[in-house]
Amino acid sequence: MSDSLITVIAIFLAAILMFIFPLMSIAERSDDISQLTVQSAVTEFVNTAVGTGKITMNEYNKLVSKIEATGNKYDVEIEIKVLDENIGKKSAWTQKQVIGENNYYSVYTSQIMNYMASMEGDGDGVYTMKEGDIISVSAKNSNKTLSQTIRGIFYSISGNGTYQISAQSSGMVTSNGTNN
Amino acid sequence: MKFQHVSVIFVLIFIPIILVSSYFISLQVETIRMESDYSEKLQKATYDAMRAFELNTANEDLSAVSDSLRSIIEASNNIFFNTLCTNLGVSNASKSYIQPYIPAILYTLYDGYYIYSPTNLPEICVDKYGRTIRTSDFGVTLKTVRSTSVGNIGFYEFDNNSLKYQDNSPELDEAETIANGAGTVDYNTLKSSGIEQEYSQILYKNNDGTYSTELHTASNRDFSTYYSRSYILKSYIPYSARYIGATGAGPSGNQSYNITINYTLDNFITVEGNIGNVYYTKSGYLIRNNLVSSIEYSGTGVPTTTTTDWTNISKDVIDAYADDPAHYEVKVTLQDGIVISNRDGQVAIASPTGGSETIYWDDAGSAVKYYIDSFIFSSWFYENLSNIRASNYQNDQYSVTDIKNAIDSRLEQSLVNSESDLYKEMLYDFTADSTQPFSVDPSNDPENQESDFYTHKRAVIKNSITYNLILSMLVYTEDSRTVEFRMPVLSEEEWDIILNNVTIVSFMEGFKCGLKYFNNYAIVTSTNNEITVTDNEIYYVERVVENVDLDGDGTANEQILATLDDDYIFETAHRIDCENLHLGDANNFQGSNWLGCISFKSKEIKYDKILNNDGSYTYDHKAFTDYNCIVDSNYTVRNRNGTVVDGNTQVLQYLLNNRSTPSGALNLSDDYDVRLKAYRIAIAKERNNLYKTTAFTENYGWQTFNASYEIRQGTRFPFDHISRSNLNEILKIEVTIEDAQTTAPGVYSDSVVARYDTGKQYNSTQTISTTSKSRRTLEYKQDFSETTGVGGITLIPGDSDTEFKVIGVKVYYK
Repeated sequence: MSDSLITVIAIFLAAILMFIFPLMSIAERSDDISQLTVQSAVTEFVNTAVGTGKITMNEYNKLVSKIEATGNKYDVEIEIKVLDENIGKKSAWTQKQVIGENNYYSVYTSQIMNYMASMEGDGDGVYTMKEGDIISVSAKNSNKTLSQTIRGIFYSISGNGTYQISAQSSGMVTSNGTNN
Repeated sequence: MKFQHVSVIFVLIFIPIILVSSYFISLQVETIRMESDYSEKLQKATYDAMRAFELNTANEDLSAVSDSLRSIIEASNNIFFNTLCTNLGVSNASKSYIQPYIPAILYTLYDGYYIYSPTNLPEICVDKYGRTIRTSDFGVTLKTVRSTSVGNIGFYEFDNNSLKYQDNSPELDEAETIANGAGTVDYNTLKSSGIEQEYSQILYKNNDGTYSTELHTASNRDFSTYYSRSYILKSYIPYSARYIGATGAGPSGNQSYNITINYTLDNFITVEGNIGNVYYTKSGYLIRNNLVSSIEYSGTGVPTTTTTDWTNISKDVIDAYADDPAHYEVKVTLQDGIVISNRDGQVAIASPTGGSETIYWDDAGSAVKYYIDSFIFSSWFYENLSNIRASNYQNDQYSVTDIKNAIDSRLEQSLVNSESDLYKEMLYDFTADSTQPFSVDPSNDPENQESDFYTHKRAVIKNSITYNLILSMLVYTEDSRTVEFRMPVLSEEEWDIILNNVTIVSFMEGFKCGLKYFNNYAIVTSTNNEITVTDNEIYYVERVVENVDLDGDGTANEQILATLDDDYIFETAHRIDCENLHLGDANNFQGSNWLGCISFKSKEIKYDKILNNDGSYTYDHKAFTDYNCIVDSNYTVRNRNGTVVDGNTQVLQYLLNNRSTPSGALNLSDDYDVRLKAYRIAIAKERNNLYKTTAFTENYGWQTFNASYEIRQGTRFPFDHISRSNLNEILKIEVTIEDAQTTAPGVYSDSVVARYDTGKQYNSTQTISTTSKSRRTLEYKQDFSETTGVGGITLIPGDSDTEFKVIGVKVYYK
């Protein structure tokens, strides 16, 4: 009797060792690859936005399709810190001790998306920025990846920060965008 | 036990071990990942800071002026923190969250550098309206006197309800309280305590909330001065070095000197200080001795004159000649055979009003001025200072004791020495260095990075920066939390990068990163800015004539100079050593006249913008750029023998090495000779047009002579101990006189002649009023060519009845 039990346990352990662990490891490697893809796509998106001074619906769709090609769903968050005045000087809102302090206000994903959607048709969905604005884009997976699922079997992680793949990039805009 | 049992037990024992170790390894992997992630973010933030700097200098016309520059640096600094905060996922409002991990940011600029670092500042006692409180003001009471690091000092308390001129109790207005006398601490009270010198002094806060008039430390930390930390951009520090010697300076090499030299990233230097008895303030480009082999000028009313002696050249006159190529020609012959004339590139073009007109190439005139000015400055410099040795460098800017003191408070005594020795090794020791950085040896070319001059300059700048960074970081660590900040050791290659261009180096230390603390730095350099000239960042376009139909006769047979906005094939800009640049082509000539080129800095390609009415910019690129040379990574150049080599080498050396005959006469049919000439003109023009903060508007040295006894008119004024007695070395003199009067009736003014012992006198006379006895200065300026001695001067009025007294003479030397 005890022999059979031990055999069952041994088979169970063997199954874990021979299938689950390699699977887990492969799933994690695949996440690593996804991570690289997502990171480079996000960086490319930000670099284009920084260089041209605008975000277009076209570019955004390209980013989304590129990262979703990894087989996961992602939350893409865009934040643009809009500079209130000229790049470094003469701000009316400066602290009196500091020269060149800037004031920024932030515009977030939904506002940018709404703006671009309203523009679509005539302006082709372009959101323009100006020199000195800072754009920051992050992408996090919203579904559970395979490695997360397998890990979930052994130990569960709960809460908001349960993403496995996340990429973030930001930069200062270096030219004034136009609608053309 | 059966095999299954053993295997199950084995698995049960090892799985936890493997799990734990794999967890540990994954943490390590995560740490490395985070580390590279933070490094990238730091690099990116520094890069953004540099871009902000470049944009601001490009968009601001006065960006090289120091006040403007400072605000640009502050702005760039803000961008650094904004980007870093954004990248690290905290809002830029949390700048104060990141600041403690940034011990220093270094900005190396053209002639000096800025360090942004946290600094401890004492707090001054103020009332609730922010007015500075002194010991004599209302509300201040003397609590006790204690012994501190600065001797016995008073400890005061200030009642926060009091105002500067008014106690909170009496119902008096400000004027009345002032009239009624000051606060409670009077002079006699202080005198009886032996601290009367503290009367009416401003007060600094101590750690225990009391105030003292002096900054001090006490054995009980509570009684020491309180310092608050603030993040500031420290004062601009120039790249300067002081040299002192008892002998070795001057033309004869036997005079003492005490001078300060300000260096820059290129070969521009400023010299200030005493050589013998003369105080010099001079600035200019230091070029290789004998680089300029002769200067020739001629023109309307001026016979052809060739000179090789700097003292025979009047800078003002020759600059005026160079600016007027229609009437004068000024030619500079360089040692390598290149001849540059202000009439280079002249071209006859069809005039819109008919006929033809000659137009000149401004760049050539600008270049001629650069070489003449540099020649005058360098000749003077080598004549006077070539014997200075590196060991004459005065180490008064930094001391290892300061470093020791900074570490002292944190470490045991035995460790202080070993640690300060480590820092000492980071600083170059000049005392045993006997090289002559300003030697006249032709191999010592200040423009060459392998010369003694460059090596010495590099060591001076590196020492200054290293020392100030070490101290900034140590002082910061002194009372920081748990993390210790240290100056990282930068590699020599990194120093080369830092000392060649405008650079930002940001340091980030002590940031928690997985299993360890993140310590790293990022270096970003810039070549696209307003404040430096880098020779491989100048782009060239051919200057050519094109045939157009100006008179409307249907044939394009009038020649005009092609401009860049024409739709013309030559609009592609290249670097000087790019094989696609064809400066010596036939269409670059008009007859035998080489037409030159259009040269500009790369900044103009990158940031040359036009502001539109709607606030947007369009880029007004002066020319297209060539893919071969604009992209560094694929840039190759072709040697004379056809071999292809990497293009990012030293440009000047490349051009010199590839000439058909090294040091031969200029051969305009040889491509490399033409390029060398274009290079010489372009770099000279750009440098001549660069704004320098440390430059002096006029270069001269001066010595004053005072009359020890009364010297009346007509009596000889002797120049005792005059340093340079040759007449041709004197720029001008200023004579101070007083007590001018005349016995002749009806005479109100007179003219005065100044005559040297040799009989030479100034052509211009000075007119004085003989009705005023007040003190005034007469200035005499003229270029003499005599090399005879100057022993004294005699002032002779036109009218023998005029009398005045000479008080002193100030002699200005070239």
